[in-house]
Amino acid sequence: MPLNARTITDEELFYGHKACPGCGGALVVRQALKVLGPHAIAALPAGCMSATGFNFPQLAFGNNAMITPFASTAAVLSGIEAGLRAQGAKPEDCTVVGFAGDGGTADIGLQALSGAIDRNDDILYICYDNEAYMNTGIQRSSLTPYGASTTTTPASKREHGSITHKKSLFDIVCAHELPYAATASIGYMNDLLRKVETARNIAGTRFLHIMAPCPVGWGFPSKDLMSVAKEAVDTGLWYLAEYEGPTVSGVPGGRFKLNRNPRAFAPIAGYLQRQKRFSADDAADIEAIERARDERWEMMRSRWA
Amino acid sequence: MTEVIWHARGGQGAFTAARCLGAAATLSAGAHALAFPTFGPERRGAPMCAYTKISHAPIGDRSAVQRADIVVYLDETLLHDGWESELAPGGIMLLNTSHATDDARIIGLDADAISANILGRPIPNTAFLGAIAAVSDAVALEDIHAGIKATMSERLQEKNLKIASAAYEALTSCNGRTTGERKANAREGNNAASEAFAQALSHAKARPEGRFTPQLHSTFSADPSQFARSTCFTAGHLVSENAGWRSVKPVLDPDACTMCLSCYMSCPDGTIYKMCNDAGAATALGIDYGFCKGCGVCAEVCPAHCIAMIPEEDAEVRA
Amino acid sequence: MKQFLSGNEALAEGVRLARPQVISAYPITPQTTVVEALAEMVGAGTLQAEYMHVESEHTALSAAIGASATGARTFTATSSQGLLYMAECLTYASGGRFPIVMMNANRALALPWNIYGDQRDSLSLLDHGWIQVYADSNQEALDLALMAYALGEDPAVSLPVMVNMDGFALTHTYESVDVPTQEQADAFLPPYVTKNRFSFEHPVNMGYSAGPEYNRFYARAHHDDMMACARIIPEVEALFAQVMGRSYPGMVEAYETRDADVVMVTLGSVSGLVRDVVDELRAEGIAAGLVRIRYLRPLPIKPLIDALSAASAIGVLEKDISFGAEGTVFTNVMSALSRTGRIPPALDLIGGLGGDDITHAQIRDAFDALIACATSSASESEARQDPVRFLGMDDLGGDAACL
Repeated sequence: MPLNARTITDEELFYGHKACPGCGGALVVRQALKVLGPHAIAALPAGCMSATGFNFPQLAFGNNAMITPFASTAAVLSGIEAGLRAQGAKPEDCTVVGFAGDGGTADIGLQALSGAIDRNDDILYICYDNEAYMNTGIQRSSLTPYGASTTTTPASKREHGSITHKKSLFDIVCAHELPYAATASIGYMNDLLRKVETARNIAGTRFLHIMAPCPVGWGFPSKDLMSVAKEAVDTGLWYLAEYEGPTVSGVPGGRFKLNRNPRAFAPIAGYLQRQKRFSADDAADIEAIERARDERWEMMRSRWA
Repeated sequence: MTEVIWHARGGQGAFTAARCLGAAATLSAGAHALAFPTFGPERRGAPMCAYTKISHAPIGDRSAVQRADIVVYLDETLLHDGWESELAPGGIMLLNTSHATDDARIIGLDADAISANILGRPIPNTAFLGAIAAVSDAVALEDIHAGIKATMSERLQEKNLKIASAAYEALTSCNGRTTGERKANAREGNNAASEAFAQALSHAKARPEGRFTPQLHSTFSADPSQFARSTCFTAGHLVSENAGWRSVKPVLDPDACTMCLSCYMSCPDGTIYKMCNDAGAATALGIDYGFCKGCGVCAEVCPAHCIAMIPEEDAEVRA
Repeated sequence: MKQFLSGNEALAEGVRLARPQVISAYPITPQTTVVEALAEMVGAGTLQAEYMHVESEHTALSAAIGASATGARTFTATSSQGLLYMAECLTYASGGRFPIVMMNANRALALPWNIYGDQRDSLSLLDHGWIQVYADSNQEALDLALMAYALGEDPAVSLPVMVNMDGFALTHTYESVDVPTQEQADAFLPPYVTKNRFSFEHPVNMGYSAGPEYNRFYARAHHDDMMACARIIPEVEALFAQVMGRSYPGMVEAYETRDADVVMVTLGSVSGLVRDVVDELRAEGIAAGLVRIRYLRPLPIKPLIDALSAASAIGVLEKDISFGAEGTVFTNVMSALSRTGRIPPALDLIGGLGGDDITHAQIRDAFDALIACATSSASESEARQDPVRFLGMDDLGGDAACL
C-alpha cells in the first residue's frame, strides 16, 4: 500500500514546536517521523528544529529524541545504533534518524557524516536544506545558492548576494557509494514520503537531502511555502533524484535515477522575484543562475537519465 | 530612569524601536541608555519583548525591566489580563489600537493606520517612538528623529520620520486619546468566512488523543528534584500552546471540503486532524486552534478554496 | 593473576573486565596501544563489544554519548590535542549525565608540538563537569578502570569519569600487575542500569535545551552530585577491597603527613619518586610528607585540609602551568586550604613540562626550598609574594623584545 495522506499514521510525532509559521524544515521532520513511526529514535544537532523542538519543559517530539553537538549528528546516530545493537535492544521497526540543516550537514557535520557512511552504520541521515544558517539569523552556508542575499553575503554595490553556487552535497555523499541516497522537496510530498519509506526499508547508511524553504530567510509570505518549494523543482534549481549503491542496485558504482526530468523548466525570473533574498539580482545574475542550472542538468541527463 | 517595555510579535520591529529610542536618548538627548531584546527559541510571529532603559547616569543593571514607566503594545492581541502588573507607579501603556479606551492609564494610538498611510504597510514600531516623545520627558521629537537617522538605513528614514511625527501630532493634538476608526475594511471582506467559522465551530470535535502525539500538561510542577538530575524527560511533554502567535485564523467550510487532505499534508505544525466516523473512516477535518500559528499554508494549498484566513479579533467577536 | 604489562595494556585489561558494550576511539600517541589492545580483544572474542572505527575524537566521544543514551556501558580513550578536539563534547557528556569512562594519556599541548607527558591537557578541562582521577601505577590504572564505572554509574552520581595516566611514564612503562578474574570483576561491578536512556515503552526526549528559568537547577544538581563523590568513593573502594583484596585511600593518599613539617603535593606518577625522597628525608631526621591527589574533581577539600593545614610549609609539584597565573593544581590546593583560615607558606614547583624528567635532585632541592620557607621568615615572605618556581630553570634572561 503506497504511503499517502490516507494511509499515513494519524499520530503527530513532532507537535507543539516553536518553529516559525510556515516552516519547511518542521514539515520535513513532521512527515518523515510519521513515515518512520513512533519507534524511530531521532537525533538533532544545533539548528532550527532542535532550538524550537525541545526547550525544557516544552518537548515537541513524541518519540525518543535527543540533541547532539553541532558537528556530531552522524556520530551520535552511529553511537545510538551501536548501543542498541550491542544490547540486542533494537526493535525491527526502529529507525535511527538524524535531522540536520544545510550548515549542520554540508559544513560542520560533513566529516562525521562521511565517517558514518564509511562505516556503513545502519542510520538514516536527513538534511533539511533551507539554504542558510537560519537558526542564527540567515547566514551563508555552503548550500546557499548563488545570488541569494544573507546577513553575511548582503546585497551590496560590490555583490548581489552569495557569489558561490550551491555545493553539490548529493554528489559528495553518493561518491561514498552508500546503499541509498535521494534528493526530495516538500513541494513534491508523495515523492518525499516514498523516499523516506524506501530509505526506512534499506539497511546501512541512507541519506536524504530535502529542500525545505524558509519564509523568513528567503523572504516570502509563509502561506506560499508549498508553491515556492514546488517552483524550486519546476524551475530546475532543485532536482528530484535517487541513488542506489552497488549493494542495493547490483551495479558497480551504483545507479542514479532522475525522478523528474521535464522537457522544459518553469521560468527562473518569477521564482527569484517572489523571494526577497534574490531582489538585488540583475540580468547577469539570473543568467549565471540559469547557466549553472543548465550545466547541472546536462550532466544529470547525460549520466543519470 | 525611564524604563520602557516593548511587547510585540517577532518580526514587528519592537527591538528596532527599542534601539531607536536608545539611540535617540544617547546620541541626541545626551542621556545614557540600554536597549535589548529577550532571546527565546520562539520565532517570527511569536510574542516577544524588548526593553529600553534611559537614565542621566550610567546604567549598571542589564536585567529585564520588571515594572516600566511606559509599556508599549505593538500588537493589541497580545494584551492580557494582568498587564498592569508591569506598570511602575504613575506608568502608562501605549497601545496599538483603533478602539477608544476609558482607562486613564492607557493611551491608544492607531499606529497601523498611521504607518499604512505613509508606508503603505502597517508597520507600527516607529509610530510609537513619536508617541513616546509626546508622553515622556525622556526624549523630544527631534531626539527621536536623530535616533531614526542613526539607526535606520537611508532608504527607510524619510517615511519613518514622517510616521514618528504623525504619531507625535496625533497624541499632542487630541490629549492622549485617539479616535481612529475601527478596522472596518478588514472585516468587510470576511463576513462569509465568519459565517463559515461559526458553522465550523458547531461541527468541531476535539483531536483524538494519540498514544505518541505530544500532549499539553497543564499540571507541570517545576520541582527540580523531578527533572534536574538528567536531561531525560517524558517525550512530547508540552506546557504551552502556540495560539498566541496567530493574528489570522484558518476557518474550514466543512460543506465545501472534498477531504483531499492537501491541507493535512502541508501543515508544518500538524494541527489539521482527521475526524473519523464510527467505522474509523476519516469524514471531516478539524483544526487544533491551540497549536495553529496561522501561517496560511492550508488555505493556500486547498484546491476547493474552502479554508479562509480571518482576523483573530473578528473570529473572537463572532464566537 | 600477575602479569607484566604496560600501563596501557593494564588499563585495557581493566576495561575488558568491565564489559563495556560500545567502544569508540581514535588513535593518538601515547594512547594508541590501549585501543589496539581493545580491538584485539574484540577480534579474539575475549571482549563482547561494538568497536567503532570513528574518524575523529569529536566523533569518538559523540558516539559514546549516543550509545550511553541507549543505556549501554561505553568506553573511549584519548590524549592531549585529541582531548581538546573533543572538548566541546565533554560538556554534552557530563551535562547529559552519561557515565562514560574515558582514559586520557596525559600529554603536552602544542605548540611547540610534543608527544611527551605533562598534565596541561586534562587540567585545562577541569571545569567541564567530569570526574577526574589520576593513576600512580599500572595496577592503579587497571583498578581505576573498574572503579570508574562503579563510581560514575552510581545512581547518586551519574557522571562521566576521566582516568588520567601520565604519557609514557605510565602508558608505555611495564610493571607487574595483578589482573583480577572476570568473576571477581563481575562480583564488584554489576551491569549498568539507568533511567537516563531511551525507552520504547515510555519514549523520552534527551539532551534538550533549558532556558534561564530552569538551567540553574541542572547546574546545581550537577555540582551536588559531583560533591556526593566524597561519600561514594570510599564506598566503591571498600567494596573493591572486599572483592579484590586491594585497598585504596580515597580522594587523596597521605603519606607520612601526620607530624610532617614539610609536605609535597603531587598528581600522578611522579609520586613514586617523591615517596622515595620522603623516606630518605625521614631517615635523615627531617619530618617530610607526601600528599598524592588522586581525584582532582571533585576537589578533595577536606582530605587536603586534614593532610596539609598543620604543615609548616607545603609544595605543589606539578607538570602544568596556567600561563600568566600559576599551576592549576596549586590554585586548587590553595583554594581548598583557604577554607581553614590558615594557609602555610607554599611553593608552586613546576616541572616535567613537555616530558622533561623530574629528577631526584630536583625533588631534593624542592624539599630544601620548603624547609627554608618553614624556617626562614625571609623565604616565607618570598614564597608568599611569588610562589611559582620552575624546576631546574633560572630566568631566561636575554632581551625580551628579541622576537
